[in-house]
Amino acid sequence: MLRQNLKFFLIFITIIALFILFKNGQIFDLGIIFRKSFSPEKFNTTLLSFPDNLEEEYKNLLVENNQLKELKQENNELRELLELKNKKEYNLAVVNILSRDPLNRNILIIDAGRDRGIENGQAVVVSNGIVVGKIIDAGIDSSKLRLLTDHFSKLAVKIGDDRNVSGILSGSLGLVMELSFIPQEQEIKKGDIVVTADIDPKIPSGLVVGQIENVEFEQEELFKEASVLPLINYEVLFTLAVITQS
Amino acid sequence: MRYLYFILIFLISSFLYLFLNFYDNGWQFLQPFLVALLLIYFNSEKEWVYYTFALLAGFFIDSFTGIFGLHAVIFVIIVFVLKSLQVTILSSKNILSIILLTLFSFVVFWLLFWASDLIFNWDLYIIDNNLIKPILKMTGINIFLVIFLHLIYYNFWVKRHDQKQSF
Repeated sequence: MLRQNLKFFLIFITIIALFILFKNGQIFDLGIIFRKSFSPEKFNTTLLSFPDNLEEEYKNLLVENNQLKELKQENNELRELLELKNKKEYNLAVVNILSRDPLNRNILIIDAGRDRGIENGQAVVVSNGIVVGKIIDAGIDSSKLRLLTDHFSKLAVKIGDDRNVSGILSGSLGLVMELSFIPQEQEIKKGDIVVTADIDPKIPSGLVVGQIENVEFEQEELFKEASVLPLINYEVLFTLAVITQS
Repeated sequence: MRYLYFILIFLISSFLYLFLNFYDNGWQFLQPFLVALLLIYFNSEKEWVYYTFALLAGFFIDSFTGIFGLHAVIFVIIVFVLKSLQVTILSSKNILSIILLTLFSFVVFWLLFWASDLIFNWDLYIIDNNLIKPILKMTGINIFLVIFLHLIYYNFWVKRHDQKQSF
């Protein structure tokens, strides 16, 4: 009785093992036999064969996809610049960034110069009209621009809702901007928008620069000071425009 | 006629298995196939019947789970162990033998899963502290179901038709 039970057990365990091996295709693939018997040969060769250049095609598509993404971003920025130009009636020279200065990362080299009407001191804006810097060295076909966060950058600005407070904006450590020479009696607060003043003839007034982050005030000082945060990240600039004539 | 009943039991177990697996609050640990296998084992004298049922029930569950063949092997082992016990030490025909064999079969069932999980890291049933309680609860329900259904069958069918029990 026990022996008969063992015999049945071994038979059924063998059957299970065979099923597992058949299912995994380790003895022969039952699936292929079914497919061959039920479908014509040409379908097997076209549908079941693995494409040779799949990896290469994938890499090409990946490259193409990245290029298209960049083109999309560039297209959006150019569209916004076009809108800005029509709205404010500026003459804009759209430029691309060639490189950053290796010694000072706040100095960028762009691919346009005097051949496109660019002169020293002109304002450089991004697509939505935010000022990011000034031209400091206009070459024949390339120029250098200094970002507002650079330590040597200086820009006359106005603050407040009615824009009657003036000050001088300078860079600080390449990260934020410092606002100085604000008269003590003038009221400014955190969150005020800083815009360009109409002192410099090469820079149109009313262009957005940044937002006040912190106001420093001491009784014995003649002027107030404030730190200003840029509204965009200066590390990921892509397409810029120089305001050549306002 | 008896084999028709077996097929019917298989179909009911399949339905219950698929139905219970929709619930995630422990009801998936109710094992209708194991209950059916034990009921068939207790009421059939032919070895090929319950071994085949164990094989088919195991493969049915395996077709829905990740490791093909595991349930089938475990069900066949359970049948083998029960039959071996029955022909050696638990050979009497009383209800106590049925209770003990049922209890033992569920212990073997979860022990084998725990061992396979420990050795191969298959994680078919995640056996951790949070799930011990529902597993134990459902094991209790399973054992109760086997004994209850067998008692009903024994009292309302076997006695009435004056048949002998399988052992």
